[in-house]
Amino acid sequence: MTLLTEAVVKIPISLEVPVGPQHPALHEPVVLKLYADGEEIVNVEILTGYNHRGIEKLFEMSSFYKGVFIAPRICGICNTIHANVYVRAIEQLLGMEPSPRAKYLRVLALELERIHSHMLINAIMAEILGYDTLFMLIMRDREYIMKAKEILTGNRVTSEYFMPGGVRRDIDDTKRERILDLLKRVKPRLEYYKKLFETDPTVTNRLIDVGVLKPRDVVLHSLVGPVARGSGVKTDVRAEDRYDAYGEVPWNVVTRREGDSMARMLVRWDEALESWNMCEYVLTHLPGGQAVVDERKLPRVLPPGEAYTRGEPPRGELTYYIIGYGRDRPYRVKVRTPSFTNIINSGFSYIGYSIADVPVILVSYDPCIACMERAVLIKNGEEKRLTLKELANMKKR
Amino acid sequence: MSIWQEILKNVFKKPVTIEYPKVETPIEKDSRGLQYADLNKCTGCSLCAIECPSNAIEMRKLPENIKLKHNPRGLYPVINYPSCIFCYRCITICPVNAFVTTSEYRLATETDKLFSDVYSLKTLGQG
Amino acid sequence: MSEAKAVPDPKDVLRDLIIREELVKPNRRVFVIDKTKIREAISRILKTYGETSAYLSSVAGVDKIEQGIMELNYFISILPRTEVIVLRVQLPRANPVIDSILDIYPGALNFECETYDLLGIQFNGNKFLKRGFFVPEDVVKKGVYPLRKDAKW
Repeated sequence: MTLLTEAVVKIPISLEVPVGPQHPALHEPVVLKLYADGEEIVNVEILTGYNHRGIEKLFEMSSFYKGVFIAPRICGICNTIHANVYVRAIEQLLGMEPSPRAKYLRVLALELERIHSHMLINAIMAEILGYDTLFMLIMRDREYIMKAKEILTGNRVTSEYFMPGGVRRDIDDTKRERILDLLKRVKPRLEYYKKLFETDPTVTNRLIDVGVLKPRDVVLHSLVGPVARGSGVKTDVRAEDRYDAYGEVPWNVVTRREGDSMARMLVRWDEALESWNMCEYVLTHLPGGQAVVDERKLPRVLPPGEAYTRGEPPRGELTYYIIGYGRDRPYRVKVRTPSFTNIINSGFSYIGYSIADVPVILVSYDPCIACMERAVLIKNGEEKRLTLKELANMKKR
Repeated sequence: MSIWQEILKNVFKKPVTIEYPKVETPIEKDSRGLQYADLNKCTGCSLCAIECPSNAIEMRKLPENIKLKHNPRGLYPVINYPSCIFCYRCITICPVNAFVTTSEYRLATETDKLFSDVYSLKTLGQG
Repeated sequence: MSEAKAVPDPKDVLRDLIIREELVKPNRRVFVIDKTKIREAISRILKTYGETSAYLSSVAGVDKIEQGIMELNYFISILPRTEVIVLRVQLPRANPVIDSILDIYPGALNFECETYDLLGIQFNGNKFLKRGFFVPEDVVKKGVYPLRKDAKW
């Protein structure tokens, strides 16, 4: 008899619910193994490694100009900021400085991407709550921003806009008027969605007081981005490092004090409105001069040295550490993406909440997760699938 | 406030779906699409093949009967479209601006159009 | 501009532990310290600046095969000074072992697990280290640490 109980799942009083790795609309395939006692979660284990492509080794084997096109392919949604941080690290090593017009155009590309990424994650939050109408409406209005990105960079998603020394395309007056016109149509929609998130009971009943993070926990676990700003920690790389033209364009850092999931989503809507103001300022105050760099005259060798640059994608803080040693390829490139810390280090924040709160907390950290499958119970090496109703009845026995 | 007013307004508007292929998708004239080399200008220096991030360009010898004064080595670039990522590095690095760019994005096609030699040889007046 | 209480310079906080000072572009100061003193340095920084004002931004391991050492760089962002400092330790390549800082700073979990899986640096006291964290199964079976300069698989 003891043999039978030993072969059953090792934690007899709680149920192991695996969440992942295959999920629709997930940016990173990840496994959250939840141990649930009834409806309440008592322990979490996070497993990763499904998407590891060996990119840091690939950087060391290709020339650093090929790296300008490898870096944006680490993430699809924040591809402009990856290219920007890599290019700025190369510029530090080569000792080049872009022209003022190129700096303003870079800020325009980055802020357009921030608006579309924040609209996307809020639409996904609406989708997992079951509020599909709101999901469709936000995605329809996001198309204006994608069209603006296509006018500016040549493509909707992968922009390939950056090169050491400046940018690769320029805009003239007709394009500027068209982008301004598209932005004017988006602004009332952004304000409408922010008001809807604050007042609609479908959203507020599931988001308020869920996943509360205290400022001390946030900083001790290195959580960054809107997750930290939603708990009152005032940290934003654009204000600290002032790279490109962020020292000249007027803007504010957005923080909230409550620390729950609703505060994190509202920080994102506020940031989208701030980005809108920045885009309009850039388009009306563009300096003259040359922005496009002639790629045929750039240096071919990376001089020895080290550079550490940071950027602020929509998800947090991104850092690149590049070492050069006098050849045409770098010696070491180390990338630390914001989702790497936000997802793996946040296992402590699910404890005490019910199983239905887990998708809400995970999506408020950005990336997102769709839904959970049935539970699987392993007994003596054979698998038996049960529905939730059978499980509830089993516990009473 | 609720979402009912928004839904009521949308009932009386026409849908936003673009019914492709009956209707063309509106695309910019200078968005990054198909590209190929113009052999009237190409000198066969092979810089585009060296710089391609995904190694999609291969240098081939010109057909037997063609002799070009500005191309002493007799090589021309052939792009493998399934591998190409359309970053346009070949266009910006070419020293004589020998590439022709289009905004063609419909690339699912028959097997003989998967390489760019069909388009490149046409620029010489044959193919 | 003047502040009510002056924020101390990290060089004064770590004065007796620094062996050498270097620079990483654009303006990040590097303090080279001995590998046995890393826990002392991190706890001093956390105590001076408070627990909501300094966080670990990144941990980068570098394999310098020609000099026979491996370097570990801890990048720490100090918010009131808007500055990033680097603590650098050097480990012998034949036996790269260092103390873990997981109990003082729980946010170092993912950095230590990744560095162990890709470069093979052991962290004493971290019980979550395992080999299949990032690297796929067939590479793990050959016992290879992929990011080392002499790795072949």
